[in-house]
Amino acid sequence: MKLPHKKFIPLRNLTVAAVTAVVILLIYLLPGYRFATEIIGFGGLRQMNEFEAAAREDGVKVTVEDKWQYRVTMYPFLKFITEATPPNAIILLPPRSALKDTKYEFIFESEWVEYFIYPRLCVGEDEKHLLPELYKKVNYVTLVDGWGYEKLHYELKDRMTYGVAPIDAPDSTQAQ
Amino acid sequence: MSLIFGILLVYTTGFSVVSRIHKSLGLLESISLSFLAGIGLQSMFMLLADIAGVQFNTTLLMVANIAVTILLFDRSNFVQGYYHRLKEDLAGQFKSLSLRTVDAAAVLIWITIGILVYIITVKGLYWPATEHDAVGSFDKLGILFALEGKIHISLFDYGLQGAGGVYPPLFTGGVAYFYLFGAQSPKLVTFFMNLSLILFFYATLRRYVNAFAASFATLLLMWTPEYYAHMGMLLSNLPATAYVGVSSLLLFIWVKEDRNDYFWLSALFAALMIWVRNDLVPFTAAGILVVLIVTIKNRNYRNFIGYSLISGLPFVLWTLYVKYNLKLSTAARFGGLSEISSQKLMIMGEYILAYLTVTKAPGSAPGFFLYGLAFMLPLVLMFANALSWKKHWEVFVYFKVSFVLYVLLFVLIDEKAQGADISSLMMSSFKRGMFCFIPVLMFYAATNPLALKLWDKIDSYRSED
Repeated sequence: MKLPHKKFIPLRNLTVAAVTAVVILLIYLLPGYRFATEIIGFGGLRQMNEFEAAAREDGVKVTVEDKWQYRVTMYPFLKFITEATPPNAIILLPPRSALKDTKYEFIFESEWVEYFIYPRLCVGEDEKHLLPELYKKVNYVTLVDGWGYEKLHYELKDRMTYGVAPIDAPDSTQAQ
Repeated sequence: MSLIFGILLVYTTGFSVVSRIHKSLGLLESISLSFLAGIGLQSMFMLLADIAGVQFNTTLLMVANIAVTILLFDRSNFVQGYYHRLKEDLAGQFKSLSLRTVDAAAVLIWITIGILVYIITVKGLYWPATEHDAVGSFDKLGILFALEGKIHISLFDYGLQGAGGVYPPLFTGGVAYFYLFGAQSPKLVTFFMNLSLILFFYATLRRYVNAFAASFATLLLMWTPEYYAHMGMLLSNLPATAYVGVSSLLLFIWVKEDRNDYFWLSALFAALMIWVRNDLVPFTAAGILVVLIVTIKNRNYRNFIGYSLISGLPFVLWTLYVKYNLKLSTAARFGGLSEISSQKLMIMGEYILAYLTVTKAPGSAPGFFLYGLAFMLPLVLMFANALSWKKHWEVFVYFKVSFVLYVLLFVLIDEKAQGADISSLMMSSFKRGMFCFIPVLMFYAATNPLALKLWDKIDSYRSED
C-alpha cells in the first residue's frame, strides 16, 4: 500500500517547513522536552567533552577504567576489594544501615557488587536469610566505617575506615 | 571489523527469516524488522546451545547464522522481486530533488530526529552502563553469558543473577552477542533496537499518512522526554517498547489491510516480545483478543490458533527453562499475589493520573514533564474521536486491554518480594513500563479521523492538485 506522490508549490512547501520549525521550537520549550534535550542530551555531551579535555590537559588518554571511576564513586573501593582478595573469595558486604552518610550507597547489594568483583562471590549482611548457603561460606569481610570487625574471628590491631579482611586468617589483611 | 561482521550477520539472518514470511517488504521495513528478528534469534541459538550442553562462542554463532541464512534465504525472490523493487523505489526517490518533489517540512523533522539521536547515542556509547539495573542485571548477565558461553551461568547457582535473571534472554543475549563480536559498549544493542522501532514506526505510518505527518509523529515518539533519556541507557524498557511497538503495528496493518503476511510477522514479533520480558503478557493478551475478534467475524480459526500458539510459546518455554534448568521460581522474585487494599489502589490511582495528565504524585514529576505529549495528545484525540472509534477499533481494544492488564499486574504485585513499596514501584517500574504504550498511542494520534483532516488540509495548501 502506497500513498500517491504529490507535487508541491515551492513557496508553500517552504512555508509549511517554517511553521514546522516554529512548532518544533515550541515543543522544545515545554519543560520535559527541554530538560531531556538540554540537560540529558547536550548536558551529557558537554560533560563528556569536559572529561576528555581535562584528561588531555593532564596529557593522558581516557580509559574505560577512568570513566567508571568518574561515574561510580565507590569504584576505587570495589577495585581494591578485587585486588585484595583471591578469585575464590566469598565476601560479606555491610548492611544498609551501616552505610548511612557514606558514598558507598550500593555496596550492601550483592547483585550490584558482583558485577565488579566476579569471579569472587559476595553476599550482603541484609541478605543472610535470602542467600543462607552463600552466607555460611563467607571467607572475607568488607570493613566500612567501623562495621565488619565484629564479624572477624580474631582481633585486628589497626582499624581502617574502608578495607577488606579474611574472616579467619589474619596474615594478609589489607587496607585502603 | 569483527563487530561490523557480527552486525551484518544479525541483519542477514533476520532478513532471511522476515523475507520468508513477507516477500515484498519495503526498504525501511526490511532494515528495521531484520535487526529485531536477527538479534532475537541469537538468544535462541544461545539457549539451544545451552540446553545441548555446548558452550557458545563467535564461531558457533557464525555457523548457526550462516546455516539459517542458507536454509531460509529466498534468492529468487530477492533478485527478481526485492532487489528490482528497491532499485526502482530508490531511482524514483532520487530522480528529481526539488522543492516541488521533496517534502521540506519532513526533511526538517528528520534532520531534527538525526541530531537528537546523534546527541543521545554519542553520549550513551561514551559512558559505561552505570544504571543500577544494568550493573545488577543486564550488563552483568550479558558479559557473563559471553565469558562462560552459556545462559545458565554460575551466578544462577548462587542467586546472584539479579532481577533481570528471570527475564528471557533476548536482551541479555543481545548484549552478550555484541560483546562476543568485540563491541566496546553494550548500549549498541539499545541503539539498534531503538533505531529499528523509529524506522518501522515511520514506515508503517507512511502507509496511511503523508511524509510530513509520519515524520512528525515519529519525532514525537522518540522525543518523549523520559523515553529519550533512556535511549542512552542499558535498560530493558526500551527494547521491550521496540518489540511491543513492532508487533502491535504489524497487527494493526493486518486488521486494516487483511494481509496475512503481516499477520504472521506480527505473531513472530509477539513471540519475540515475550522473549524480551515475560511480564509483557498484557500485550500478548491484547494481541490475542484483537485476533479473536477478527476470527469471530471471519471464522478463520487457523489464524487465532496460530497466533496464540506462536506468541505464547516462548513464555511457556522460558518458564520451563527457569523452573527445570535454572531451578528458580519466577514467583520467588515477583512474589505471590499481594493483598489488595484501598490505600494501595488510591496510591496507584494518584500516580496513574499524574502520568497521564498534568497532576503531580508524591516524589514524582508530572506526567507532562515525563512523557510530554505522548499520552495526553492521543488520549484527548481518542475522546474527540469517540464517535468514530470503530474505524480504529483494533487500536482501542489493544490499548485499553493491555493498559488495564498492565495496571492489574501492579495491583497484584507482591511488594515484599520486590523489596519496594507500591509508591517506589510506581515511580520506577510502572513509569518505565509505560513506554510500551507510546508507539500504539502515537500511531493513533497520527491516523485518527481528525488528524487525517489536518494532514489533508496541509497537503491541499501546499500541493498543486
